[in-house]
Amino acid sequence: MLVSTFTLGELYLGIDIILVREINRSMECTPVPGSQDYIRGMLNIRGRVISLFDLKRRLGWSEDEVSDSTIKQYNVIMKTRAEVMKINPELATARCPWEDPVGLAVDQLGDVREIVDDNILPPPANLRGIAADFVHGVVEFEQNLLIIIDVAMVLGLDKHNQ
Amino acid sequence: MSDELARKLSNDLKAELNREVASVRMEMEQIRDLVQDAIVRLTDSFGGMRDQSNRQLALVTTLTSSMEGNSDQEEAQEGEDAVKRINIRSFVSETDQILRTFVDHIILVSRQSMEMVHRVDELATQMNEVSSLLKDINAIAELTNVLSLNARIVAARAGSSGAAFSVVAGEVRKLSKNSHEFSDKIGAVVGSAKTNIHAAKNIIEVMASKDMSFAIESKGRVDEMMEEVSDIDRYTSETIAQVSGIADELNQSVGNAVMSLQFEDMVSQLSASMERKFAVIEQFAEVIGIDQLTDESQPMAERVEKLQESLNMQIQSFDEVDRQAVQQSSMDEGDIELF
Repeated sequence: MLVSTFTLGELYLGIDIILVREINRSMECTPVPGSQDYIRGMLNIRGRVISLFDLKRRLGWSEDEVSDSTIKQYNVIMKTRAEVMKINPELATARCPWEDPVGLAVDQLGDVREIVDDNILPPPANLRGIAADFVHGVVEFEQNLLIIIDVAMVLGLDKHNQ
Repeated sequence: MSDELARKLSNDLKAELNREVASVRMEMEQIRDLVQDAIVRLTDSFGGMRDQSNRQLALVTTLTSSMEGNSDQEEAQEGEDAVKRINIRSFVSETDQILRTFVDHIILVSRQSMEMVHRVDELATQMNEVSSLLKDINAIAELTNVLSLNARIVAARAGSSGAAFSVVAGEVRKLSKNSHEFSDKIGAVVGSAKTNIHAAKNIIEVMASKDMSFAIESKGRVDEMMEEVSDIDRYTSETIAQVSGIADELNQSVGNAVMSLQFEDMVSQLSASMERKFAVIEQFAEVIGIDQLTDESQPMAERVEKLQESLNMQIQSFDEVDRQAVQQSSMDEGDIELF
């Protein structure tokens, strides 16, 4: 599968490219009062209102680490379940339970990587900076560990309940 | 008997008178010889002194003209005797000229350095503009990167039919990465250029300010030195002029001394006169004898008359000799006719 990669602090993260709708440079967003702290706010992209998740806060990072690199970030906007369904119904059913448009704030953009599915390993127990629950699997890649995140878990949706 | 005694006494008197006159005459001759001898030596000596004085005067005159530098004369002789022309005054003025040119050059360099500082400032500003342009280029590269990623996302949605589009997107991304690296390299070069420009500006600034003050100080000091040298030069010229005057006076004094030495002629004339007077005195001894008075063979009145006659003759001949003697009593009165 193709994976769109990015960094979050020292972590090298990846998301299945079919789940990604587009990538933007960080822009002003409107805060949502009363929401969880990891909801940074609402974005309006070409008339679509998108909930932006602060990935660092969602992964439980300290305030120092969060405020360290908010200046220059990127937003990874996800496709909705309906959009994924048109392309790959199987994937939509298995790993795309969210109906509303959402986005994740990340640090630096990486490249698009081709991953052989068989090379994906289950998450190791001692990963720092990210709980095993949020990890779909890991791939050893050019002496780097690429962590493929489980977007449904990150968004707080249990796909198995669907 | 008494006649004989009287004649003998008379003869003795004459003999004694002759002896004494001869002795005085001899001493007088000695005096004349001594004076002549001394005068010859003194004349020679003063003559030598006058020669030396004249030589000294000539030397001083040469020195004076060399000091004053007789520029007109020298210009006429230009090329003929170039080395001689370098006297103190021309050396001073030439040195002054050279130093003035030198200082003017330094001031010019300083002024140019100031201008250079302004130019370097402009260059630094332009370098900053280049830096900000590089930031713009980086922003474009970044946008291109985002664009290429989005292109690949779109290509992925199209599945196998979007593969070619995905390759193009990959190439676009590579271009963006290359341009980013390229602009980073330019940024590094511009950064080091800025450092160099800053260092150069500091050096030029120091040069511009330091050289100017040094040059102005030097100019002042050179002017002071020139004045001091001029003072010394003037003093030396004055002293030489004084020495020259003294040499003139000395020459005149020597001339006077040599002239005064010509009293020898007077001494000779006086001694000749004395000589003649001695002859008259000797004759007097011959003419007037005691025996004439004591000769009783003739009457007393006749003897006295004869003796009176002899005395008169003696007086007459002495007066005659005396008239021939030198009329002059001092050197100042005689003038040239004496010599």
